[in-house]
Amino acid sequence: MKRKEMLAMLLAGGQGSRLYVLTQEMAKPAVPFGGKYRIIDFPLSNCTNSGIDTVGVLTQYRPLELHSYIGNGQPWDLDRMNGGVHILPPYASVKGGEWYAGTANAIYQNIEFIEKYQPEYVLILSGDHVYKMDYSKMLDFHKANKADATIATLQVPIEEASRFGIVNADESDKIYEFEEKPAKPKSDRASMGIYIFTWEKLRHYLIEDEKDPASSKDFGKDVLPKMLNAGERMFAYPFDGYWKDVGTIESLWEANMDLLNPRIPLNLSDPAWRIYARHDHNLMPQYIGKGVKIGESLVTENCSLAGCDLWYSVLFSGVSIGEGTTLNSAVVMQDAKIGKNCTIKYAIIAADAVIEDGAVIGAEPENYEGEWGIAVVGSGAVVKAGQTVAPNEMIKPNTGKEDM
Amino acid sequence: MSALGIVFCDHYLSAVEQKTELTRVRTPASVPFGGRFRLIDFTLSGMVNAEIKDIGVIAKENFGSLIDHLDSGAEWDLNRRRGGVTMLTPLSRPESHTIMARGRLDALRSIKGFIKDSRHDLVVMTFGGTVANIDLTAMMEEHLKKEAYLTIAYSEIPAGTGEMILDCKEDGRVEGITYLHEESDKVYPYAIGAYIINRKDLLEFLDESDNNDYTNMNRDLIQRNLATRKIYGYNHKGYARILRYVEDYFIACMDMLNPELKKDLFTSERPIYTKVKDSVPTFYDYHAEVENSLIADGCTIKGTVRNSVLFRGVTVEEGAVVEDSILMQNTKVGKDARICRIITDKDVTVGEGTELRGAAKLPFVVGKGKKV
Repeated sequence: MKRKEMLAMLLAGGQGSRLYVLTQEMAKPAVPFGGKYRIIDFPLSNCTNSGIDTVGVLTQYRPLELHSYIGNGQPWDLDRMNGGVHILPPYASVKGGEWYAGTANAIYQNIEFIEKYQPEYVLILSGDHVYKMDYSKMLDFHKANKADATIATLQVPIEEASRFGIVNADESDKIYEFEEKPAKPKSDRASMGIYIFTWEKLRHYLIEDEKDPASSKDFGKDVLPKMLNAGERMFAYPFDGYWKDVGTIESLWEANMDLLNPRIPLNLSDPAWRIYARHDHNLMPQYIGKGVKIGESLVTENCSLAGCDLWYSVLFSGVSIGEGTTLNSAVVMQDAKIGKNCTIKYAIIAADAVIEDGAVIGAEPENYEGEWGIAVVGSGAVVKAGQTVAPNEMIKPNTGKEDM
Repeated sequence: MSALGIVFCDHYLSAVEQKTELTRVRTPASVPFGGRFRLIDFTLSGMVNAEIKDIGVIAKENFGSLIDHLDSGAEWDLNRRRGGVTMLTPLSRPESHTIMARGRLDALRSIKGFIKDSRHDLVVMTFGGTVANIDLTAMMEEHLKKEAYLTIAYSEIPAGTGEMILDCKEDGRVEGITYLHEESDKVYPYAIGAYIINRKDLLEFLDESDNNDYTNMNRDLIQRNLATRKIYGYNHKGYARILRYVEDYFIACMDMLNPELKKDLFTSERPIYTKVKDSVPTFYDYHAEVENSLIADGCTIKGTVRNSVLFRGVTVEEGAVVEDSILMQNTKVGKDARICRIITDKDVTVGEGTELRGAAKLPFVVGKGKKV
């Protein structure tokens, strides 16, 4: 096997429980985003754009959709003779089988895979962030600092810093302390969950951590602090750009809305940094019929609109919308069918959902009495004619709302 | 039942090759269509949908964009170990150089070795410049059932000048062929450029052609054999149009704004595949006004678009009005420009405030990469 300088290990096994009905049937990295993407397209495209051609994708929770989506890796140019994308689910061995017990354990169980390529460095990624990043620059930084571990960090507003894992580093970016969701953060540099390790070091610490019965086998909680305590050279790489953890319904909705805002630097149409996705090969262009009022919206192939009002919304491929329907600040995923005279505001409608005539889904946050939130209709769910789905309410996949 | 597919990319009109602004820069089969397709997608998808996965594509010249479009054939599932898609260009075979590419028959003679090497029973030949979703499975079944020598697909629609009209008996047997000399609204059974022949018979005919220097497929393969061999017509009932002139092209593209015709051509039973590009979804800005238009991904619409077809990556700036037009990939329409009955080829820029208007009968074509 030809040596690779660096390979990427993408942690894609998480359930994403805070996405509730959206991840009931698929892993979080497979969740659709931005009209024609899935969340995992971001790290995979970043890898290929950064010149990384060997990626292990560690899957565990509900992997079916994710496995078939990744396939042979061709859309991301990761179908390679040597390297390419490899799906790495938990496996059984002579000693028996075990699930991935934590992020560090998942990598530990795949040491053999990594060793095949004898890499000098390993990049650890997670499959739940929307961002564009050149990992090769981070590797340059890692090498220049002769680091053992480099953690990508993002400057966050100090008042929000207590929601993140905070990295405290000196002026030369050398890390001296980690704080997990500190009540009184000392700095505003949040860990993005992106790490580069010098492989020899990481392998040593993974093996050590595995022997520790008290360890939760997690990078953030166990491996990184252990390395720091042992005096390894660890650096904080400053990333400047759009980055969003889309782990909650609200943040997923927000990230979609960010695409509509020209002031937010998440340009997906930059030819120098494409975001690739697996597409259907037989879709028609979108058809805009008569009487459509449309503005500040993204619409994808195979959509068909007539007589509707569409504002601040993102439509995935194959969505149809009937006459007299109004959408405002809505995300409608692939092949959802929306009937006539519906009102859909501040909502996520998942793939293949059916919204019958006259249904009302979600509402503006202004003047709403009660606990407001994004309304969500799960994939394949049916909202019957005239039914209401209130803000913050969720309809489970492939079910209907109880008759009122 | 297994078949070898052969696609002719060029028109091979009898006299001087008719070149339009659109085919000057590319082989006819490579002309963009319907917002995101190229004409060859129809015949390639048709073959793949009929389980024909061993396909030779014959292109005479200007095939750069075609090669780019076909690539490995993966988009049509034609990147096969055995078979798949093979580009057959002039001089691509040892036997090619002996023959001038005068027409389809010459082209076939020059690839006799390719046909000989294949192991299929049938050969399905199609013209890559036809917009039709022909059910080739049904056509092959009919060909076998009737034990035909040759089966020719036809459509009963108004035909243009120079089209081959089949004179069919009730059972479909072709008794004669004629050519239309002038434009007419009358409906004729005219050949839409799809033929099925047994491979053994085709090879025999090609040997005969070499011996006698036959050069014309219609005359030498069809006319000569009408009396002695069983030549049948296959009635394709769905949408069909051969695109020879810009007017045909314009009409066919605009037909796709009609939901019935679009559904007929892009039937879900036989999907039309094409090369995937990584475009973002289309963005409609606050000022966008759009009506009755087919719009591909990757566009930015800030102006008004009516009754038009927009390919990928088109930008329509504020105040611009686009009506009854076809804008190909990456066309930029500047602020307050007004265009009507215009076809812009790829990468055209229409400057700020420019007004362009095509004639009612003949839309105006702005050539590839031009700035107006």
